[in-house]
Amino acid sequence: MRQLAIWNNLSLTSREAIYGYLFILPWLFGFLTLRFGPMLASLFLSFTEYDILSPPVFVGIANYVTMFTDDPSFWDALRVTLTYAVFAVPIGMMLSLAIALLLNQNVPGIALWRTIYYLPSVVSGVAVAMLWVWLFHSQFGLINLALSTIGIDGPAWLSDPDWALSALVIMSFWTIGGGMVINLAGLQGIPTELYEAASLDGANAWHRFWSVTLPMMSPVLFFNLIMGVIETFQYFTNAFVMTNGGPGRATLFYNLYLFQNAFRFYKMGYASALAWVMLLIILALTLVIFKSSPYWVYYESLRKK
Amino acid sequence: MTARRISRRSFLHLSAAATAGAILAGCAAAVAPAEGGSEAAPAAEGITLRLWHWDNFMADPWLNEGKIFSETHPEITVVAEMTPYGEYSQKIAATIAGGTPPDVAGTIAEHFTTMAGNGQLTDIAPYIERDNYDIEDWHPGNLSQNSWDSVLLSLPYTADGMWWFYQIETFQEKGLKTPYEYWKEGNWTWDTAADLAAQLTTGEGMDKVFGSGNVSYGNYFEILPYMASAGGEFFDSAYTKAVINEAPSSNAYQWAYSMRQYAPGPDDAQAGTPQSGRVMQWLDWSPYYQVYLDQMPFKYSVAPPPASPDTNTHVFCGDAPGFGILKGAARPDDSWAFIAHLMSPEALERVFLVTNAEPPRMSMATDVELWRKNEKLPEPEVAYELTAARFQAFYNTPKVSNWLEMWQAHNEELSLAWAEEQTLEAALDKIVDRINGLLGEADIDQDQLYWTGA
Repeated sequence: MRQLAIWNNLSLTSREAIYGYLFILPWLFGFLTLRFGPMLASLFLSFTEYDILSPPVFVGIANYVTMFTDDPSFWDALRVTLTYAVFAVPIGMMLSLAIALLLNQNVPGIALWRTIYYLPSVVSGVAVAMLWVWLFHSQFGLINLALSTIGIDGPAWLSDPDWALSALVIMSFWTIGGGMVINLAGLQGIPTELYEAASLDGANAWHRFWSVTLPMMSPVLFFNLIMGVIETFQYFTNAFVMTNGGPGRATLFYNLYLFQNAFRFYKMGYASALAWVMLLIILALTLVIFKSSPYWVYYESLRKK
Repeated sequence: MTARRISRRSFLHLSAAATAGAILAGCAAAVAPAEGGSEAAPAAEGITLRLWHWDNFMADPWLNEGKIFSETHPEITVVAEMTPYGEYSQKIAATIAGGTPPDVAGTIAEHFTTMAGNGQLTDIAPYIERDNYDIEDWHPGNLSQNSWDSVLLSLPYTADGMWWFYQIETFQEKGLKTPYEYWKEGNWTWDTAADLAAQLTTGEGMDKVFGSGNVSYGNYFEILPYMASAGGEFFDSAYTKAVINEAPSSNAYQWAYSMRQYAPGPDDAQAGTPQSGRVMQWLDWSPYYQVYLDQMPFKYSVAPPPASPDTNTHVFCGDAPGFGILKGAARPDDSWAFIAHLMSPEALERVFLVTNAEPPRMSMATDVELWRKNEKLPEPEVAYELTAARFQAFYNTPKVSNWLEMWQAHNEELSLAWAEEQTLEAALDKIVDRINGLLGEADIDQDQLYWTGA
């Protein structure tokens, strides 16, 4: 009865809040035990030497010092990942926007074309990686075969240190369908009267794209840019299956290097330190993108009156 | 009486409370014991012994041994849980960390040092002493590979090596002496192997026939015996530095590098396999002598790996995978009982006749009648000869706890050399620098007992 009295004395707002927390309790439990808890454990382990098989030994910031001063593989992995990001993300965004523009037409059969372009992005994993190993084969892969028809002698893509990363960048365009769908939704949200007004003012197709489409699409591009950067640092499967970081360290992505330290060398402490540095790098890059957004991202709701 | 209706709001309130209660109840029930294996096995119920290994073709023979074992131990059922080799060490580590290690764990050089160096394997010497086990029938070099700081931690179930396979009919068609014939006349060396490879390499593109498989730098069971054959070593005797950039160790790498021209390149990994029939001679594990029967569309035979022309000593890799008992195993006594059964001459013979896994017992491996009994082998007498030769000269991989990290550095630099992005000499120098830096962090068992030459 006392509890009922306490409950009845609560305001409606308070009671609604309690109900809200109760409903999100399953998710909250999962988040705390499967995400936040392991994150805290990982932070602790990053200050230890831990090989899973014996208890962790506290070593202070030794892992971080080693990473920045005595581990050339760390810098190689960072270089490879950032190089991949510099090429794969913007080119992928441009391609997905271009495809979305083409598919933003009201013609018969357009739904079929949209499906065709989107399908590769839902097919992923090891099977696709093996497929691309065959496509990149230097002697009978389809890519070099196509290049040979225009007189170009294609390289040994995956076994040439100078071309292996380029091969993975090219492969990344296989999945532009995901970004294409998001861009398509953004394009269809642009009011048509803006295009009509631009046409009345004498704007040609390029002017309409540059002055109407791009600004109105900038929030979507902003989202795709941030997601692209984050996904780059999580890049793993293709490098693991197709090249395992080689030849040399030409395709040693950051996440792959982290995996090797954790599960091949049993250096869980060092791998945890790598993971936290990765988080900080992604945070920093995301902050930079956010800070730059006022200069190029247009929000209708924030338009100055 | 008027029935009371529950309002929508009340229904939602009750649902939320019930959900929260169910979650809390589930949390209380889901707490598992922190350590595995600390509780006594149930005496009245059946016992399941879990055997972990990576070679699928060994599963059925061992399960058959489990059934035979159960005839004398009716309370025990053996189950074999096979994991692909590439994932095996991670899964073993996960089970150890999770407190649910398998009862009988396969061990092999690559992850033995990690497990042994971290004290995860049980000393089996007390069992051997208690049961007066005939451990003398094992070669001391094979036992050394399964020991750490002179403590025996696992018992080899086989002692295999890499053999040199070749397509017999091609050699006959071209009128060439076979590697086996060269070996018997004492002239099977790197030079003769290269000469044969040159004569057997023909064609271009998809029509290319490769005179040799790769002398792979990536597999230490392949390159290290050649290094030993040359009279070289990986580390100096005090384990203060790597010496592979110095002769005679570097000679093996020079030879492997020179054989590239006859071998499938990285791009030929899919279409240039021995099973494709395009590779005339190649190195592979001895059990495949039998496994290949179902895979090869041609007749093949075997010879030892070619010897360094400077020493004419054929060195096999000294791989002696075994079975051990992990710390925390639930029933170590039962685990040992099954391991002892697997290592009995009768069980080893049964497994050998099905899989060509050479018996680790010297008395059996050097019994030519046992080999003749194996009707599945194309040429049992040749296989017997190679096994007898292996006991004369084999090389155990160094027992260094961060060997895999060292080997990663080794492969990274040599892959650039193979891609001609740097010279072989520069690659070996860089490998030595990187490995010397890792030596300081390593736990090392310097007792690396091996033979190189009778």
